[in-house]
Amino acid sequence: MPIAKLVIIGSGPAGYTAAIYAGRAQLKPIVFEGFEAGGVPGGQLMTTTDVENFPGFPAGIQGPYLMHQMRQQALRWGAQCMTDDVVDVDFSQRPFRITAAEQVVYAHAVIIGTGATAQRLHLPGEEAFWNNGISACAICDGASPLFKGAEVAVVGGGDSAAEEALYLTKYARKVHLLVRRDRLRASKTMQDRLLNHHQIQVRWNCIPLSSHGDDVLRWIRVQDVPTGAVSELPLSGLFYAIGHTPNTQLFQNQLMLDQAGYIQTNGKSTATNIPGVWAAGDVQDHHYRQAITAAGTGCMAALEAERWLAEQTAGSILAAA
Amino acid sequence: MSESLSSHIIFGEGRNTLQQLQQESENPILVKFVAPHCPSCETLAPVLQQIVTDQAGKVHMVTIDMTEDPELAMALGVRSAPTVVLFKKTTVLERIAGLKPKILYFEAVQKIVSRSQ
Repeated sequence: MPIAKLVIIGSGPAGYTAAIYAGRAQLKPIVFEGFEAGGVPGGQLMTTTDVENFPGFPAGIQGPYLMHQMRQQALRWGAQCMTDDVVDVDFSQRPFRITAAEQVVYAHAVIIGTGATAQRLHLPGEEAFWNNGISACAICDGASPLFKGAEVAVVGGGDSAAEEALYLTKYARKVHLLVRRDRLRASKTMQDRLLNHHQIQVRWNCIPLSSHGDDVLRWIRVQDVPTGAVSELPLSGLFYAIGHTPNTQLFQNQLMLDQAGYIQTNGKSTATNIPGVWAAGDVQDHHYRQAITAAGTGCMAALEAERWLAEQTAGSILAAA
Repeated sequence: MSESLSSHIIFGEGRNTLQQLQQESENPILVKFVAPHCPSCETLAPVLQQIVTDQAGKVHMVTIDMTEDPELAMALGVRSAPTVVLFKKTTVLERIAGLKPKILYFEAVQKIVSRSQ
């Protein structure tokens, strides 16, 4: 039974950065890039056009191109990439067992970088207008010509909804903020900025019901909660800011997760509650959620794994002596 | 009558190739609808390539860019990329919308090929 030193699950900035560092440390990592589970291989940047805040690219860089380059760099240093979905992991035995759709791999150490998926409302019509007016990322898609000088709406009441609404005022003529309740969860500062912005209209107790249009989104149907009244709101864009779901279904009952389902890591390290398992990127971070922070924690996880594997090897040599 | 030229096509592109194959070939046709900048389409591409190659000439594959031929996509109820539609002549036998587990494509092609033997 061949045993890998290190398996990396995930192919976003966290997974590939971990693979680059682990590859350079001659750990010959096996990277499960995924196929259709938890989003496309390459992660959320694959559906982002211009990345303008990744250092080193003053003119911006295309998300898919950036991911392609990271993958090439991982391959250059000896990472073995598998386009296969992991369907089960067993951290209760050593070496760990990682079962994918097409193969089973055993490994001494595992780095998890499976990321998070933006939540959707699953409105009627949503699938048809996804990326065609409806989006879960204003920062990604807000600058699209679809929204220039148009009316758009953001759904949500937290800080990220507020941020998205404020961001969209740069492009859209008017931004409606659809808030489910009669108050915002967003911080006081953000609330002040929102409520005083002449382009933003907050609609309290407002729930989207369905989306409509032709080849692109044209209007949505909304309900006023107290009265139950249904009305139509003409829109070119609808942005969801209702949170993310971490891709941690595989690890339930094995790793410590927080209440929202994110993997809990130990203090400043990326270590999980199981020695030999680390977590990096959005799967353990609901705060920053940036490509650069994912890459940073991917690097940390690989360095920690390298050190741990070296200690294990030294330990077993000492034990054998 | 000798076999027409089109029945030797294994990988083709566009509506014209599809229509020609529908008229001239008895073998099933896998139509793959794609869109530019569609990462799932790129992920699926090598998988379908392999499945069709493994069938050694018993199935055709035609790739259609839905932005270049939106009418055909709309007519076949294709709204997202990638979508795979399997035909025998002009009859739709199966439709797989979005990126799905590899085994689904494999089994769908296998079933249709063995049925048409």
